[in-house]
Amino acid sequence: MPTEVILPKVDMDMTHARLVKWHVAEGEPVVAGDLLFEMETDKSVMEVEAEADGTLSRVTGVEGTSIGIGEVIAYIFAAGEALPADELPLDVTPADAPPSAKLATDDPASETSATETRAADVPTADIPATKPTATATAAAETPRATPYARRLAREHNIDLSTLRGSARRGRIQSADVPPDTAARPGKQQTDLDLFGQVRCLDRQDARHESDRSDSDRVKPATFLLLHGFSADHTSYASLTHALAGKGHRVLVPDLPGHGQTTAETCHPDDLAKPLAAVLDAAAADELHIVAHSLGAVPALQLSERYPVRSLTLIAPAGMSSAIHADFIRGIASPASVAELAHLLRLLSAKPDRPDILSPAAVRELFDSLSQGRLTALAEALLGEIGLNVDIVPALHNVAARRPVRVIVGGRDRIIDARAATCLGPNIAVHHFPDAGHLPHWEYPREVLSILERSL
Amino acid sequence: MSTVAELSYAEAIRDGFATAMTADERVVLLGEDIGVYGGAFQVTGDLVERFGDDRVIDTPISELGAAGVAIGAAVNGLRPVLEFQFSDFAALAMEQITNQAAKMRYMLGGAVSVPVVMRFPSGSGTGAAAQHSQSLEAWLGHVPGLKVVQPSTPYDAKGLLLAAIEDPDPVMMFEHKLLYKMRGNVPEGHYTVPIGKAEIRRRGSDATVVASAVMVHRALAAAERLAERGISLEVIDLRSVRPIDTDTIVESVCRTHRLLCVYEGVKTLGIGAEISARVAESEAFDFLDAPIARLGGAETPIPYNPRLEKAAVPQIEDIEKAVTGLVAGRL
Amino acid sequence: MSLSANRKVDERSFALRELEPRKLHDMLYRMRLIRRFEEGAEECYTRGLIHGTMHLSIGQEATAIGVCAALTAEDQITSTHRGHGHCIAKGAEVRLMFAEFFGKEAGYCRGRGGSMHIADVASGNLGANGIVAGGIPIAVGAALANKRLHPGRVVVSFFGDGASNEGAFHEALNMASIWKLSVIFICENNGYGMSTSTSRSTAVESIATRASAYHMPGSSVDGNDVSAVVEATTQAVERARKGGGPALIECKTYRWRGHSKSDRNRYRTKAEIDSWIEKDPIRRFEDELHAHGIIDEDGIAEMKARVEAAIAEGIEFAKAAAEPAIEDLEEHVYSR
Repeated sequence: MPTEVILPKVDMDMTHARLVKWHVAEGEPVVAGDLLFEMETDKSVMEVEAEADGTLSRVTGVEGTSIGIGEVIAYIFAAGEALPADELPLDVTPADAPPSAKLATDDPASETSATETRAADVPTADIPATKPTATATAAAETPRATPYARRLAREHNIDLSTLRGSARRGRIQSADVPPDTAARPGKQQTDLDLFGQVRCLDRQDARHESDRSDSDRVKPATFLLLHGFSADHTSYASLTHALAGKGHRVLVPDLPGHGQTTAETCHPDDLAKPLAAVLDAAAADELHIVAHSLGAVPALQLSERYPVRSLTLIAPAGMSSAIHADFIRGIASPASVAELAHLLRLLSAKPDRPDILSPAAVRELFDSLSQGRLTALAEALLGEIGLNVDIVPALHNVAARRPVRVIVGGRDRIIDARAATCLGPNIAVHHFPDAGHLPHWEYPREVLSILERSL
Repeated sequence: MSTVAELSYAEAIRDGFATAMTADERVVLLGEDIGVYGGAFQVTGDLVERFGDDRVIDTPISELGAAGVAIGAAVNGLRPVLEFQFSDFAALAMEQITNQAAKMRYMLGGAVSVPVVMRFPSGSGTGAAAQHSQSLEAWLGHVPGLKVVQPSTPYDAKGLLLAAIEDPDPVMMFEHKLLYKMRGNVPEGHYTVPIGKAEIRRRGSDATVVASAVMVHRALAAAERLAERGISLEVIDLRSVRPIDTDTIVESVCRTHRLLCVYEGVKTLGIGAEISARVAESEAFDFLDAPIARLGGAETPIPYNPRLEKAAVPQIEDIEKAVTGLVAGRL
Repeated sequence: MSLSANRKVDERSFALRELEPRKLHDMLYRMRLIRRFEEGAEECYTRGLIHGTMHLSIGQEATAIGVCAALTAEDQITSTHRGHGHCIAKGAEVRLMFAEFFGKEAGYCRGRGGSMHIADVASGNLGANGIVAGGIPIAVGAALANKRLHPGRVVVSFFGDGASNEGAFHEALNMASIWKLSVIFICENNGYGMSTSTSRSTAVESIATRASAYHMPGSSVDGNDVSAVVEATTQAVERARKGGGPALIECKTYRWRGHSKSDRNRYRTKAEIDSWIEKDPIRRFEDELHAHGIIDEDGIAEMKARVEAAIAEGIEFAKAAAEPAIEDLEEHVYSR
């Protein structure tokens, strides 16, 4: 077999070298020990000798180019030697040497993009100066407070900017946080109307003069907003307010088993029937249904029975069997406030603001959930492979007759948002790439404007 | 039932040696002037008479070589304890300590272990000046493969020594010179103090002080004075520089909300810096009600003049002042 | 042997007089194994299969083999960054050495040590050392332990000419002498530290003369003459075993390759290198064995083939072996 002439590795961090000059030409004879070629590394120019006697042939290394270590750049043929015909590609790499590109990534020490990696490793935070810098604007937005003081303020729902700091630089410390504060907001207990067995918020405001626009007169419609598993009508607070402000009638029931509604349920299919009472009473001719998560199930049933103008499903459950089962089970009967807080964080997609409810609100929710009203429903929802609910046939059914749209968040950790891409062409899908399971909380204005398109 | 005697810190170490050497033939001592002379700080005392000069071995003035000899002996089956006359001389042996002892096990993929102990009389306050007064535990604490301890009482000195001798890995023991004459209760016979476990020396609620070696005693003295002014100080004796008992410190700071680290080594890049970072990274961060504070050695070599020497390292008054400031929100 | 043969002075070398043919065969085999191992490792390196760098001992085989031939399996060695030869001479398996150089879990040091820290504790090699002279005091310490725990056992400390200028060398020899320890100091004087010749760096012409400063016997031998090395080492070892204390043996030899793979060899001439290659210690020993009928042409051919097979198998084994798991990064930093 002819002897391979390779570009040798000579330095620890070497991945390539420049072939400077051939000292023997193609077809010329060489003797072992003869100077064969020169190569240039980061460190210096190096002379490489021939390792065998013979004729230099199949020279593929080009002077002036950069070649990877271990690459074959020529052959030395002893008398009578030849390469088998099928082993004579122009660009030969020895079978047992890994390609140089792979070596560069395999060998961290040989990273020629070391400067890039190093730069990435250098933390961008400066070493804090002894004098505070640019604190004026910062102070206006965020008061100085110790971590402990912040924690106490959060727990008691106190706005830090209402406190005076007694520590250095005006820093608020724990002693400055009043221990028992009267300023605890708590939840507004609105009295909900009773529709059959269901408590429901029924709101309609007078439209403001400024909302009217001659060319844009939108007739007031009726919106039925159905919340998801373990929530209640307050989860639509901002949307309720926005729609009502535009003069629409907004019906927001507490689903059976939830909130102020005393009727119980143990199966998703039983959610719709009691809600019918709301729609019967409302007798709306311009009805739009909006449902979140599990609310999609009664929403679809109702859409088959009532003349809806549009159906909007936000992060609907049941597009596929994929579901965060631990969330369902955990929230149906949380063992502690801390566990509930942890579960609620799964709903959010914002790592810097993961808590969607204040600690006081979490505690109230815990008190309500620990009554265990949802345990049976949770069991009914979860089967061997995941979610026991399949809304897809009903969804396509409704979509054949009515405008149906689905809103999903790309960072939803409860359902698999990608299932929305498998829905039929009749269904509009609005994808919020950065939203979690509550796109209407995280992007209220955008969701509102989507809803208004059907008006 | 084991009896308890009142021994000095130095005597406690000697007692530890006697206990270990009686029980285990493999334990040998090496060091300069540890035989007939009894050791520069009279730690080894009469051990050479009791165990012979083939087990209490005087070395020439060859710190680097002696360290290598101790390491080779440990690799090959003995349990050697090497005494340095001053911690400052660790610098001469750094090659063997950090390149060999700390790394042999790892480089050989676990094929050997290095059960060597090295002891370093350490710290300032005796007027020995710059080259005989340093606190270098952070230098060695920085090296994976070593364990580093600093006993602050006679009880701990014997207990940590015995734990170190039994430990299969290299253990560096720093003994503060000012503590050699301190007296305390030491049980007879065998017992150990665990390496890697700090000890709460005094319980408190307003702030936590983490201190090591002689600083533990200064912190305790400061705590007494502060108690008279209504400030309740918790004092933790670090005991182990590598590994650091983060859990005990974090638990304490979660309760007291304030942390002061007090150490004799130079403040910059010292053990207090490491402790501060660990607490800031931990759940205790959310319970901090003041910035983490440190008192460490001044950024100078240790001076000869006695007043300057004192000013170069934290004293009781410094600790008192720092804690008062912490609690009052002045930091 | 007949009576008349007894009359004649046995002019054969020490090795041929004292050692069994079987042992001589094994020594020659191992010398070839070292040579081919070094060449194989070199080739793998130039192809980029081996990380880092390496320090080859091609040309120095006689010293490694000669010294280890005078030792038993219980005796121990400490080695240098140029220690592949020592490792093989003391009985290591080349496949596990290749695996170590390839950084694989199956290697002697589980891929954590590499060429400069290669060790085979089971066969008495306490490890190569990346610090020049780093292993010398450790060898003395190992001998100190042996004095108490394994009397009669000998430790050999290999080091180069450059190491004899380190403080650790002097401290170690001094202590070995005052404590009369069974440690033999072998200085492989190949004429150069990295690029600095001994004539420019070392105050004495022969490093063996440093022995007298530490009150121990010192001798200087042709490090490329297997028999001379065996003889000198055997004498020193026997003296040590009887409680006579340490000795220093300087083996004058030469390394064909540069200090490490990035050495451009600018500090010595090609003529100098070639002149030493002419005096190939392997060819020399083989010729001697052949001349005295210890081995024949077929035996040599068979031995060469065995060596090739072992090297080829070793490289394949190393290539196929698994990488260490990243999760095990911190294993073996501590014993517990």
